[in-house]
Amino acid sequence: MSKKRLWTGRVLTGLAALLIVFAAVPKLLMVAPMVEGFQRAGFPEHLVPTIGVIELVCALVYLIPRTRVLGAILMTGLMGGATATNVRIGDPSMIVTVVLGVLAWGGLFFSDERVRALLPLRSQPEKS
Amino acid sequence: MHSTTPMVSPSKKMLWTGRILSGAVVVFMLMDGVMHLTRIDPVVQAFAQLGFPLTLAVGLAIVELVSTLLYLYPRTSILGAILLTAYLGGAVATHLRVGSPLFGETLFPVYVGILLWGGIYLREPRLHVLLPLTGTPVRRGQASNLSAGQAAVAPQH
Repeated sequence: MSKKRLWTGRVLTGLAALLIVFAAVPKLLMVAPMVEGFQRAGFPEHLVPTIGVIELVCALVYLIPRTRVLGAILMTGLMGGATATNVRIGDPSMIVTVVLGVLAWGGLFFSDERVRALLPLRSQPEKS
Repeated sequence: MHSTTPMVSPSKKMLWTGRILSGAVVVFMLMDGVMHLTRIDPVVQAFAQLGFPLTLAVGLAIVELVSTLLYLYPRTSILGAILLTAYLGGAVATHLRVGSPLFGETLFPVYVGILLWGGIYLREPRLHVLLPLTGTPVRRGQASNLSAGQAAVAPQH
């Protein structure tokens, strides 16, 4: 595996995790702009810290090397939720959450050749 | 040979359990997608109840159907699984927002997600070194001519 690929992957993974942590912390602290954003999206206010905790857990599972693929799947579900919420109200920030999902998987794609064997095309598919 | 590299094809039992799980998910998602296209009464009501504009029904149906077809086609089934996961995450958020019962409607898409990953997991041995725990990657030089792709279809004897 080339060093360049490995580090590209690590940078993407770090970036994706960092952005989620940045999104989670203001939710845990219930800062006003974040709470207002939830109100705009029609999300009940009492869920703000809960979503923050879910985000932190997903980022953590994704950052632990032994659970990074599971973490990427969890991040995907999380980003799907954020995207749907923004699509519903026509908020263009839906692009950001899609890009974050791509970053999360991009990180694994570059740093792990076993992921590259399965994505975006599965090499030599099983008969199924 | 590396200990974390799967050398065997899935057993017949695993293969068929996987096919049944994946098949159930595909049938369910295709039906759901087609229903969104037809905009029959229950769909109109559900969209209203969930606060989704009905104009999004066709767009959602297209995302849903394309993701499902990618999951169905063997070459793109992992990509399809990822896209379906995001779609299902959207469904969870939508139900969470309106306060649907947690273990009923809200987590139902999570159950579907478990089935869809379970279905592909049983049929694709190369996922076994990645999920649920990811093994240490094979380092350079250790297995240069034995990529995971070749190993998974290597003869069993």
